[in-house]
Amino acid sequence: MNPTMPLSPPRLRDYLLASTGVGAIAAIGAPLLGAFDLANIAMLFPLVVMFNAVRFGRGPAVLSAFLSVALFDFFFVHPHFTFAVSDLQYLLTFSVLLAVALTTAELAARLRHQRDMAAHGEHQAQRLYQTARALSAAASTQQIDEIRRRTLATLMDEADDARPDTLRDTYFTLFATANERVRYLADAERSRVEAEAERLRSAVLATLSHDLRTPLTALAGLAESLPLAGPPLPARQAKIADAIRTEALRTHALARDLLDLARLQSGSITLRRAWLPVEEVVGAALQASAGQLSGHRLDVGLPEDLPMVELDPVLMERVLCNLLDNAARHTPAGGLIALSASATSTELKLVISDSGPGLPPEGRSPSGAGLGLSLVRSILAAHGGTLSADSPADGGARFTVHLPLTPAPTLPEDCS
Amino acid sequence: MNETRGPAPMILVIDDEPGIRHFVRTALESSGCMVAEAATAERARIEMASRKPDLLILDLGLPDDDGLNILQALRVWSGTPVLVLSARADEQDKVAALDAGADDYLTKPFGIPELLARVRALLRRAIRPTDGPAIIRFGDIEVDLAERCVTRAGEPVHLTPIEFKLLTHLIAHIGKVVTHRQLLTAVWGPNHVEHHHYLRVYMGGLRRKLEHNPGYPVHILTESGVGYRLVSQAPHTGLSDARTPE
Repeated sequence: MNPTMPLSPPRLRDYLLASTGVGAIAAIGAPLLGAFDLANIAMLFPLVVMFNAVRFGRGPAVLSAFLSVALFDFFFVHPHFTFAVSDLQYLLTFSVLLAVALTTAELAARLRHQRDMAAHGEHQAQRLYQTARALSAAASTQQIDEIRRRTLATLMDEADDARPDTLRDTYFTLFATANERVRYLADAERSRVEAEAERLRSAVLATLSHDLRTPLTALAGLAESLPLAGPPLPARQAKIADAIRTEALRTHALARDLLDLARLQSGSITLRRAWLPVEEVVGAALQASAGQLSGHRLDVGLPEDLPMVELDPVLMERVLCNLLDNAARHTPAGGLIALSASATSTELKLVISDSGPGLPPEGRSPSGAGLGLSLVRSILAAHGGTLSADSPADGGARFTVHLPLTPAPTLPEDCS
Repeated sequence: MNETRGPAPMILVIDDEPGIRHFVRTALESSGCMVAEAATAERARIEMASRKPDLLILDLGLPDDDGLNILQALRVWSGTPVLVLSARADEQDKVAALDAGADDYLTKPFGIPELLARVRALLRRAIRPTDGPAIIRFGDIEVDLAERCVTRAGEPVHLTPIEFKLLTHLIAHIGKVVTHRQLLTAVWGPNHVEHHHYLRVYMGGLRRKLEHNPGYPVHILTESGVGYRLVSQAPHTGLSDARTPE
């Protein structure tokens, strides 16, 4: 039988075939009437009804049941060839025959229904399995959409009341899972590609940094060693050698700031945060900038009760060095550069002010300073902080570093 | 070097950049050292074996091998002081080199006075490695290691036991950088090498007691991301003049 049409209602042909079956039994039974007892011949009819029930379903079986009683009455019960009944006891025979035939029809039809349901279920499971297999091989949402389109078309074609909603849900779950799998695969692939690009970018920046730093180190060192290489240089030549050295160092600082800015903005620098006292950061920066600051007066004012801060010491040293360097370059020799700090419960402020000309209205950055300050801003942003700049009424420029404060970790008890 | 008597110290400069070798040689020779050069790790190994240098100046980024490997191989059989040159901005590399046995480092670009100061400190240590004097002076601080007492401008300074331990460890390596890990191991023991904030707090306490301006120390210097260095003189000439009086 066609498994895709298992529950279709019996057609006219089935009724005709079922009736023919009953007629054939009557035809077979008629010549036997002399040899067999009438009760035995009556037994043939439930047989054909059961056969019809299994073969054609409930409707033809019920028809067969009634037809059996009619034919039995017409051909076998006296008076023959009429529906009249001479002996009323045959009414009992008819009733029993009808009851047996109907019950048989019902049981057989139910059996047939269950068989059809089982076959149907197996077919659906088979198709679900095939769809799942097709989906597991699908590598893109387009392929999944195509499979979904085809499957839905078939489902619609077969739409009938017997299809449970759970089946449809199962299909939808299947498609959703497949889509999710494809999306995860795409995500994994994308992050792999991004990580690779990031690795490449870091490697390029690191190499560039090394390749720039090395010749500039040589250049600055060679200029510095010029007075040592022979008889003492005349003052003017020594001055030129020193200028070459200074420029090489300045170029180096620019290249370093530029590359660090690129690394920060591409996200390839991870902060190495550590808890440390504010004065340690300030001290390290003052020590590193001592050369640039040597021509200026310096005023460092740090209160004793500053809290610990959690930051990247190396990067924060760069922040302060760049600000100090900026102040030194804009303050005439002998001018005052002041560094002070203050803290509230949530914010640390580091103020670097100078006695130079102050900020021009549009912000001063004749050369180089713009880059250094951009780096400062980027490093502070990575720490969740900001930089503000203004020109106080009493002259000079003032840069303020704002850093968020978080509660410090616990410390050993005997800390003095 | 001027203060060392006897034959001139032999220094092996290992760097692949000829310009750097050239000026380092000029600077070292001008202060009385003999200099040998190597541009590759392979050449460096030959020179180390044949010249028996008193000091190595080693670039970490060599073309044929990592400088760190040379350092580790050397430390198996020799305690020759090693000054590492690093073009790398990453402090982790310097810490790795120092923890692997390097004695000090210089980050490129470096000035000649810095280079000579480091070399001088390392050679002095190599000649007189142990048993320094019992009394150490830097600035107006005097530390009597035998009596375990510290005075500042003649006035006694009270240090906690941990602060004193830190100070003696810095004194034992005076002029030389000491990494966070080395200090933590020496003072707190090997189980506390991650507790950098302990160290920083105690170091802050030490500075408040020993430095005129703890926000601008001149003796207990910070090497950001690496460790600390105790120096007996201000590292930059004219530095103390630039400071405003307290």
